[in-house]
Amino acid sequence: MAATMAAQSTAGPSAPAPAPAPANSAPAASAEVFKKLHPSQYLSRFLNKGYRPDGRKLKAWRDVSINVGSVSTAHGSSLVRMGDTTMVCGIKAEIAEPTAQAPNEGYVVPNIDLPALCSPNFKPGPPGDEAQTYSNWLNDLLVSSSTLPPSSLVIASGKAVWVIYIDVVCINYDGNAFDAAVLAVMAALKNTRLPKAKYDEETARTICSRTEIYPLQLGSIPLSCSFGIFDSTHLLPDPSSYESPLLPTTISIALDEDNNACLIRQEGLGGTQGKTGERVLGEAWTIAEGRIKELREILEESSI
Amino acid sequence: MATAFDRRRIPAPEISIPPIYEPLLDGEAEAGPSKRVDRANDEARPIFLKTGLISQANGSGYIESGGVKIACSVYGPRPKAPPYTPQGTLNLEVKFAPFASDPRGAPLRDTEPIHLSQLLTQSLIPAIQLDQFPKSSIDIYLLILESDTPSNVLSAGLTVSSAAIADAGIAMNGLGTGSVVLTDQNGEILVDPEESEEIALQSQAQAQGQGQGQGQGNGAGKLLVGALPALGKVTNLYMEGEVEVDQAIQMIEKAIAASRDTHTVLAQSLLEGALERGIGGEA
Repeated sequence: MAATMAAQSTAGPSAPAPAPAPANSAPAASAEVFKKLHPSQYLSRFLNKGYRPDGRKLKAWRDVSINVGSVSTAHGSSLVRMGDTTMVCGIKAEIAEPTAQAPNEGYVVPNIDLPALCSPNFKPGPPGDEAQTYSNWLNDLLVSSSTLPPSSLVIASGKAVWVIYIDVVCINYDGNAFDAAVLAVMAALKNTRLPKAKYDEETARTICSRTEIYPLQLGSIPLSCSFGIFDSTHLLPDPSSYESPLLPTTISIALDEDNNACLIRQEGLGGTQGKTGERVLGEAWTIAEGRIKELREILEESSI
Repeated sequence: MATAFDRRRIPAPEISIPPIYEPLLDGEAEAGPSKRVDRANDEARPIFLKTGLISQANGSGYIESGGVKIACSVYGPRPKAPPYTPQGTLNLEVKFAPFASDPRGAPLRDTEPIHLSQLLTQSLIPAIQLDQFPKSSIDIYLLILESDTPSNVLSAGLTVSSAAIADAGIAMNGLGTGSVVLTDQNGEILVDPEESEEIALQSQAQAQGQGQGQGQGNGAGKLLVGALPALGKVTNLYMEGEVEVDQAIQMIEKAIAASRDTHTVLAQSLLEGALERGIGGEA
């Protein structure tokens, strides 16, 4: 599947291949060289014909698939593919003592990792800037929309609470990691089952049942949509890893079930030629509403 | 190290423990070491292996073998920073996803991957023609998504990294495969042991150690073999436990026989991967 995608992006069978470089005996090879040397022009020629370099239409999103429950060492897990971008989310629950300030609150610890495995641009070692940024965005999103209220994670007040570790790992990085990560987290949270736990006052230990399990009590489920603006002219949804470095402006919009905003972020100069930033943001919002509705359906289907 | 505050990750409570489950009822308690029922002693579990799933990498592979799931990608040969080396440099990193092991492996606290990386590098170096890549490095990354025992991770890791290196089109001497065999307390040789079988072995060894039971009963042990089956060569042997020399030789033979089967699967998946990209047939 990856191989066919790669073939599509280089040869671009569905897109009218622009004849980029001057006459050359090997047009396929010269297109590849042109793509590397003049990425911006390469992209702009595709966009002017109404297509993206990976073969989709200008305003199209990539296909999404969700698989849940495949990691048996986790309490809940999911695998999300958004085009070639692949994210695995695993949720592990552990037990800890709550803090003295908040005896009735558990912990939610979300982290996104972009390991060296997933792209040639990342180095091995501790999380890089991009991974840290996404982890913070994800944490903000989960806290502000109370997706997993800490108060629902209490086993015994002041004594024992659940710690929910949400770990997202990218396996294949082809852009728009944040949208894929949010979707993976939500699918994994829905898939999570915790054992019934009882705190024993005498031994000061928490014992879990082997047979009784229950799902997490989830609040609102926000989903995210990201865009990039190219050359102050094109609003591009779901940018790929090839396009991302060429997009000085990025917009992320996360909406809950009632289309209320949970997170809106614009980085860079807003607006396109002839349109104000406000109007472009509004446009993006409308597109996001439609897309998030689709994502929600895929999410529902996956959890059956 | 563990107490150092990690600003690069979302903070977690300093101490948290994995859930402790209530003891099993008498009726459902494990009835001690039991025989294999679902497969023969010298039969390995089925392997799922696919190459080329990670589009960003030069070569990649994904393996599911028993309780182990590993994604592997290969970048390179790519230019390496000075100093000049007449041979290519092999960098290999094994990383566990935090949810891949039970209990959760917190980042930074885990030292297991370093040991595994070293063993894997040793097993792979004879398989790659590094002299063909002066001034270059080949970077191999393994991400463990699910694991049961370290030896199973190692054997599957060796197989999947060979697949990924071949998928990257890097010249090799042969495809490396890993296999694990175990001699249980009855002296039977089990190929591709499950986690429960290894645990049974360990608990038995402990019991023997406590009761000064040296020499009594049959010895039991575990052996990991890295091999290049096509060349009939062994690249790595790693044995734990206590077995007679004859028994050990038998174990090695069984392991090599098993690695030939793995080699067939590996070659088949490479062929399929090549066909999917439309470069089969000729060559």
